[in-house]
Amino acid sequence: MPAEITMPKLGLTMESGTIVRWLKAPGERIAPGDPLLEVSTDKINYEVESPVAGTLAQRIGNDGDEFACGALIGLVTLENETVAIAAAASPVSVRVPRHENGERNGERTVASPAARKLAREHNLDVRDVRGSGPRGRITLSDVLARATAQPTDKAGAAAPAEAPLRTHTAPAQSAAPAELDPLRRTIFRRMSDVGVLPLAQVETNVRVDAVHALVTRRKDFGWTAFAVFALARLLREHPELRTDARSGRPAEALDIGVAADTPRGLLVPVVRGAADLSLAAIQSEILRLAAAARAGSLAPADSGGAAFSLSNVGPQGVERVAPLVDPPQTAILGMGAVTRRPAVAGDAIVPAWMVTLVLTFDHRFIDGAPAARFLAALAGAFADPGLLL
Amino acid sequence: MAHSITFSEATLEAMREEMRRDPTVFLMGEDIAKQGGIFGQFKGLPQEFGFERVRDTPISEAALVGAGVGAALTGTRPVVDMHFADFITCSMDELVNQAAKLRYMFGEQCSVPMTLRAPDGITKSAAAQHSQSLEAWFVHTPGLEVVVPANARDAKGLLKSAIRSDNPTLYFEHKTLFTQKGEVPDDDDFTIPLGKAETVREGRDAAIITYGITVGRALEAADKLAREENIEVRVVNLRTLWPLDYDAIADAVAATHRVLVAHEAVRVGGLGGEIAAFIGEHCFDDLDAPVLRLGAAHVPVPFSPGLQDAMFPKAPAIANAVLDLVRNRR
Repeated sequence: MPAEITMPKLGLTMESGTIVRWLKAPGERIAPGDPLLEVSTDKINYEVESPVAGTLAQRIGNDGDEFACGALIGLVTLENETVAIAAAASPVSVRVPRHENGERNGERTVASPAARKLAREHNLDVRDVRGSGPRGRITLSDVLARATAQPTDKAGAAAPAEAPLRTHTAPAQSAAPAELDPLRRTIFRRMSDVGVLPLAQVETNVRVDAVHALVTRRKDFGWTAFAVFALARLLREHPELRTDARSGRPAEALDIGVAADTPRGLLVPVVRGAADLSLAAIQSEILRLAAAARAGSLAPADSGGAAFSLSNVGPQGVERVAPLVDPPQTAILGMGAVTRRPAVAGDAIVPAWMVTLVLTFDHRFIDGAPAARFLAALAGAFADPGLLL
Repeated sequence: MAHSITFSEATLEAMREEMRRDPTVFLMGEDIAKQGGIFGQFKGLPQEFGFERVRDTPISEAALVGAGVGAALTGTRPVVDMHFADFITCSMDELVNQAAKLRYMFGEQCSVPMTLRAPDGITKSAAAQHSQSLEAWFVHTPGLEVVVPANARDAKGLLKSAIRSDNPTLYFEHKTLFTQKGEVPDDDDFTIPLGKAETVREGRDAAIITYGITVGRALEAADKLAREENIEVRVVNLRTLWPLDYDAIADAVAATHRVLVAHEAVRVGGLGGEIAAFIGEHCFDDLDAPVLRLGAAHVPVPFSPGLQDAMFPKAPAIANAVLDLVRNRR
């Protein structure tokens, strides 16, 4: 039996993948672990390796074809196999059903001429693009969104999430300059979307002598890990702060996105299930994610789908940051550097370790009072970490 | 340097300067010399140039345009005032079969450098016979040039170019524009070339292609959209309808991908159709939405102020159409 090469499932949410290019030709000899072809999802590109030694017998899908996860895309005959199987493998009709929103007009995909032209320039099949126009017409901005959501190298691995915002109408032409790299284009587009949201902020300064002492003494966790730890636990009790803009309901998983500074730009890897992790476990997960983000090797499961995000500019030594939310999330915490500042104790001004926390939230979903209550609770935990126990 | 004058004064400046510049330029029309024109657009001209060069004529448009064609053929540059554009119908043979054709039929041995001034458009209850915008008829007639100024600056620059043109040129001036003020360059030799549109407002989200009175309405709509909706609209003032600046139209489509064509003339069979068809033929790949057209309803212009107000596109309707384009409603 030849070995079947199938479209891999690279993440929980992945339903299909597109063949970017075959790296081996039919008849070519293959060693185990040899990359056979490159596939792309809406988040990453990935090389599919041969599980066996043998010969590439058949390529079923062509470059640019989209297949459902698990669908047969190629066959490798084993080392000792002599059976000619090329004829036996009939082409498999596994093209995934097209997006339900990209409504079809009979067999014809409804797309504007400009959208079709742009899709050609990006080697995209318009049928793979979700249409947001009247009657599902695919417009320029839909193709742009698709083109930028499909990075052509691994740099885009953890580009901040996938779903274009549909909860508002963005200015029609937020076209990124063509020369931007894929990650920058994604950031460009998403920030253009965020720019029109009604964002509000609450802010407070917290005296954090106790946690500062712990961080200094323990050395096995840092401020980012502490913030994620505190956020995850408090978000359990403040479900409105993890509202998902797509559904209007709280996100289920207590996954916290952590903005990471990388040589290529902003990435937001995610600490999964942070409410169930110890401080030390969060710390080691953050270190792993940060290293992977910098190296461009984040796995699909490491990004996207966070309930809430954290942006900590403490490492840069800046005292205050007012971040933008990362839709479909509806809130984000901006944390500054922990610095020595004057604090009032009784009637005296004393030097104290202080931090500034800014909570940005999407006012369409979250009101000021619950946001302030959440920030107050968070400030309480920063001042007295014992409250989290 | 520039000075601020009304549209009417701008045309008067153009007349004066061209009549001083070229002794073959003369003016004829009904009630223009003794009365000075119903919009004051000819006031003072007989005092400077005499009643030989500023002539009152009998009420016969056929005779008036026929005389203009004949005078043009013999080497003068007549400017013929139609009083109201609607009355051109009485001189259609002279204009369409003679003026437009002679240069072609006689192998360029003659030309008809006549300018026909035609106040047009909807004004307060002037009703069906005194409110029309008939430019599309003449764009459809080979051999004629058609210009439509949108403001005082256009009024002067285009009228001077029309007078200097060796072709018969129709100059449609909207009745309600005559009193509008605008900046006009001080330069006595200022002209606006025929066949060149002007982008009067930059914008990336959509384009309004328009001319004449509707340019101001489009700008008003664009300002409102920028202020209230964060939508930036390019506005193209065509200025000349023939020769039509197809390049400017194509540029606007390429820059914005969403286009509205708006004019006060009746939408059906109007110039918007030609522009939309051109875009469909030549700019297809640049379109992200269907080309929309706004124009007057296909009815005689009503006398009733309420009905009249409802039958042609003003700024709110233009803004709504652009919103439809940009918000993916069309």
